[in-house]
Amino acid sequence: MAERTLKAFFVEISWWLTNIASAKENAVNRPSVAAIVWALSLGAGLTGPAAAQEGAGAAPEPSEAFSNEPWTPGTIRDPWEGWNRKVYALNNAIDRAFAEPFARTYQRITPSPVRSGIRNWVNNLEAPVIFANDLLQLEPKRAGVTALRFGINSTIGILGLFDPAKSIGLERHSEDFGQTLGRYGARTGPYLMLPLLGPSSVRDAFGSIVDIGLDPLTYAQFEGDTAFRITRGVAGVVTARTDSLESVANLRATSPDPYVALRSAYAQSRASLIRNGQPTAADLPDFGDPLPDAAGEAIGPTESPLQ
Amino acid sequence: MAFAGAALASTLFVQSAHADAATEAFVQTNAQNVLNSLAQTSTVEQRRAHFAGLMEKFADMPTVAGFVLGRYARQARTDAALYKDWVATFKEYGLAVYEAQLDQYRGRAIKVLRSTDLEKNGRKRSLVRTEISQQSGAPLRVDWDLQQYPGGSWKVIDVALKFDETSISLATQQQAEFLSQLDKNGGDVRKLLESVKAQTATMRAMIKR
Repeated sequence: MAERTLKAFFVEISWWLTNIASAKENAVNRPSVAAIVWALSLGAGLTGPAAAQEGAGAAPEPSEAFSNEPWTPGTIRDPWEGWNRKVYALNNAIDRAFAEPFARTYQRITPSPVRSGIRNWVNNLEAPVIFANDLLQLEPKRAGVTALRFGINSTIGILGLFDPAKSIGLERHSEDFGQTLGRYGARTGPYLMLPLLGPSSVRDAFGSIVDIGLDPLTYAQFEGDTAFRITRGVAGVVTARTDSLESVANLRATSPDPYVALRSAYAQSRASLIRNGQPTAADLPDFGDPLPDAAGEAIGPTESPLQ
Repeated sequence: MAFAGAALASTLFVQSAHADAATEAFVQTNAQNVLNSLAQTSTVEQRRAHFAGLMEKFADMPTVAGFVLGRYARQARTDAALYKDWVATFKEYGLAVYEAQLDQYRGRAIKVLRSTDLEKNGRKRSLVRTEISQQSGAPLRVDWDLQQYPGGSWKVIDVALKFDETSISLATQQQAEFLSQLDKNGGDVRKLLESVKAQTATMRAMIKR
């Protein structure tokens, strides 16, 4: 019951998100007022089960809500490519001028254990949002892992600087509200390159805003809370950029069009995160049947490869 | 608390993937041979020829060559000569890509972790999960995606790099890059072919030794 209500609720929100952002002008259906109210109230963290219940009957099923266009998992539409490429160029310029050199310096002057301590600390502070999304996805086991990790790492792990939970088999996983929407059938909507923040989608950008609302640190008041929030933000950005130094350099060096390579990597990684890394046939690329080539010769293996 | 965590962890992470001994052995043997071939101290030409021969047995590049053209594949196949040229060009490009990507792992040990049997459009697929050891840091995690052929044999049609719970497929990435080029050049496969040839040459030049 809870799953059905949640699903109807999220499907309605994501339908609204996907369609309002759609560049297509052939909108056959219009988002219901209820959907807009839900989305807004959810953003403000005010939703109650009653509101979801009320409109559940009106929520379209994913199949009809999203049947306007064919879609392959791991791909993303990019109707705003011209704009996105401009933002990408800007981000790249800023990255090359500031972020990348800073990350290289940081990597050079700090010992690896210090960097991993800071990484663990940043990761640990994400636990409440991950936990909330684990629950919204009705994944009690994963929520349990997140809660145990947070408890162990915040205490034995000295305020999250170490990750002893991992050494007893409690592996970290990520969740965010964009993934939660995806878990209930929402597609990404158009690709969106955000200034300074990088690749996103309409669904995931909306999700990021909800995640801020889900984070207790957004509301926590304590001595030096502003400094704490800034430190956490800076540490998060520096860690993320340092960890991606090699892959970004590799992407820039080997791809004829790094913009497209990044877009594909983004779409694919989001798709696999939503299925929690579990392989499913639906998400595998479809290679079709090995086709005879135009000359009529069979293409494909002619001998058993197991020899 | 730690004990409770360990107990919970042990119940959470036992996976019931159906192991396929044949594909696991196939990947273990062939992928290891490929990595070893890159470590050969022969001439560049000899090493490349050996590598190409191994890849021919291991991967089904003609199928991937069709896949990466996406919605343009059907039309491209109507021009027999062009399509044949495309498959040959893509094979060369694929070899250069694999060589460039795998070169840093030459001679390293590959370990099969497990495999998952799947079915897509009535065709059997097997996803073989492996780890390649690195000089420092955590091992590289690679998933090999194999497809079964009517005779019962298997070949690799895709590789995916894994980080935590994310997975990035090389074939999907290449398709995205080629489709973007084709969309921009009005679907001209000939133009794409020329640009892919140029890229292959650039990559070849980058791999020294």
